[in-house]
Amino acid sequence: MLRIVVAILVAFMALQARAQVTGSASFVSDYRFRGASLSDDRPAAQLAFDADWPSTGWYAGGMMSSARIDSHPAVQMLGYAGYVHRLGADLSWEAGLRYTRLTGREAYAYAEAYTGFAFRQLVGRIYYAPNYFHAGSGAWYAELNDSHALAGNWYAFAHAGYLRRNGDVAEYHVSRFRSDLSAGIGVAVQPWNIQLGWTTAHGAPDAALGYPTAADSRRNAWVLSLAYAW
Amino acid sequence: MTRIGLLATVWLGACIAMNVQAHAPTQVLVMLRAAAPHLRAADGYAVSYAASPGENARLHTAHELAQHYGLQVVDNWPMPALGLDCFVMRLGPGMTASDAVRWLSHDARVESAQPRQTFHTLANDDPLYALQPTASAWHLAELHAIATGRHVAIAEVDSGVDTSNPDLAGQVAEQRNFVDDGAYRAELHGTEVAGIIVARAGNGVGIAGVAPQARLLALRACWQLADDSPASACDSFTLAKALQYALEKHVQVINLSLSGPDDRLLQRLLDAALAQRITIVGAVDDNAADGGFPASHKGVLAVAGEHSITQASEVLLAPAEDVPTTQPGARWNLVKGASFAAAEVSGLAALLRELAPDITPTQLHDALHARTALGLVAMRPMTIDACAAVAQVSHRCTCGCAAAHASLGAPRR
Repeated sequence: MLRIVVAILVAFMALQARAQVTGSASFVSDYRFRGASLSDDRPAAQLAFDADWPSTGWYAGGMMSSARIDSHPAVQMLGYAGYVHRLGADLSWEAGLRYTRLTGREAYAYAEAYTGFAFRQLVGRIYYAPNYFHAGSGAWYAELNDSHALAGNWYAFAHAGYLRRNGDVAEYHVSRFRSDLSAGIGVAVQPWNIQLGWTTAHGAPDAALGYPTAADSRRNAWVLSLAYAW
Repeated sequence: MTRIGLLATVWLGACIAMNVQAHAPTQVLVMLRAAAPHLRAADGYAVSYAASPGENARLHTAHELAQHYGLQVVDNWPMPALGLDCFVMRLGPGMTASDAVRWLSHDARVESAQPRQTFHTLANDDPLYALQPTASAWHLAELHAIATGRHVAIAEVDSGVDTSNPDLAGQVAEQRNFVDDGAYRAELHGTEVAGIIVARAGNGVGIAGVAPQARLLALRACWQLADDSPASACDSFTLAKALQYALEKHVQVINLSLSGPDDRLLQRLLDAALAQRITIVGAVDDNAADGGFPASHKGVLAVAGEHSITQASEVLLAPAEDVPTTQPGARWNLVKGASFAAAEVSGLAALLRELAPDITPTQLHDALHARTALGLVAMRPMTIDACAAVAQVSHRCTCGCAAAHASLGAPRR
């Protein structure tokens, strides 16, 4: 694992000369992923970096986040790479792959492919994971994200997502569908970005979708995030 | 005698050199590519849906470039219409803009670089001529019976507009300052141009604008050079910021009553605007061989005063002398210059676009460009026949049908 990380870092440094690289450190009051808490409804710290090669359209990045899996502390690591193509001043499409795994809980590692579009601030994507959270079944996820500038440095954002789990769900006696919504406001004062949002999920329970969350995890939550970018 | 002549030549040469030095660009514009929006590390894993971390990355790159080439980053502005971020960098001691541009242009991280150039407005300082309302030459009242510019947005990229003039009260939809971080300022040239385009009609005072019901966006990209003169200056960066904003606002007409050297960044923004079917009107500078930029740019409606010396057949002629218009405060005055001819054509373009919102650039061009009596393209500039243009676009009778049809040969006065 360490070798892979080192190899990625070396390759990244070699390409960095022409890349636009940025990083961020974040603190979130609850680490929510598609409506499920990966931090057991507790705060989490995150470290992320992104690299762009705008003349080619390629991009890549990664993130580390603290998490709590099966009531135990863990670290999530994810990496992604993709290609984005501008069709006009306001419209672009993209496609890529994302891989995530959790230290000490390798069974939850999974990869997913995605494609999507962006029209001004509106972003839509569809993801497909053949083995979602390594639970033995695939899952489709579609999302729409939008943001709108308010007065000064303030902005509002909203997200809607819809997940469909493949395979047999009879043992859970529940739906194979789940939706999640979030909305809130933020203020960006470089290099800081603060957001407060409400997130909620409806439909299939976490266990039916393979999420490694605590049994009593809440479905609704206020989430405060504080990010510092460099 | 020979020695005196030689000394005079040396002195003259030194003056010219000093003058050139005084006007040589001291800053360059450096364009860095901005990646299109895409998945970021935290997307979906946090609530950070609106963050734009790419901006930071480009700022890092800009500072790296500045340090490497001995420059200083002084400002930046996103240009999403071109997929770029534009950084302003100040030259180091002893450095020339052309050197810096050459170095930067060869750097793979840089999309393009250019000097920050200076532009100027095209108003004359001596407007004391006999009163002769130019609006009457275009039969404005008759045109307003069928079009007033309603639902058409015009971006006036100019110096500041004073909305305290009764003719401009409520006529300006938005004011933005792209010159500096200070408050928006009311200035002469911008106010004069605004009055010609949108001055309130039928209010019992002052004048009537060519398109009095158009929505005017007063984008301050130029600054007045002296308190009592409309002469104003702008530069590549301030103009680019204003054009980018006009694109974001999806205006239908952009008025550019100014002129300067060819400018790559501005050319690209104008091309982006033309691709969106925005009508761009530029004033012709008689002191420039090609009419000056942006009037010389392909697709821009180049407008000169009726007594212009220009010979380019594509140039439109409009009244540019003794034009009454608004000034800051409750004042009006007569002005002259190609700036105001361009403003009239911007207003006329707004009328045409109200009548035919989906009009193509070719159709609009054909409507405005007069033809000979035989229907041939004119070989030299001809005065706009506003009535004929409106009649052609609206397919309606205006200014007297017979006159409109007969006007294909010569403009009605």
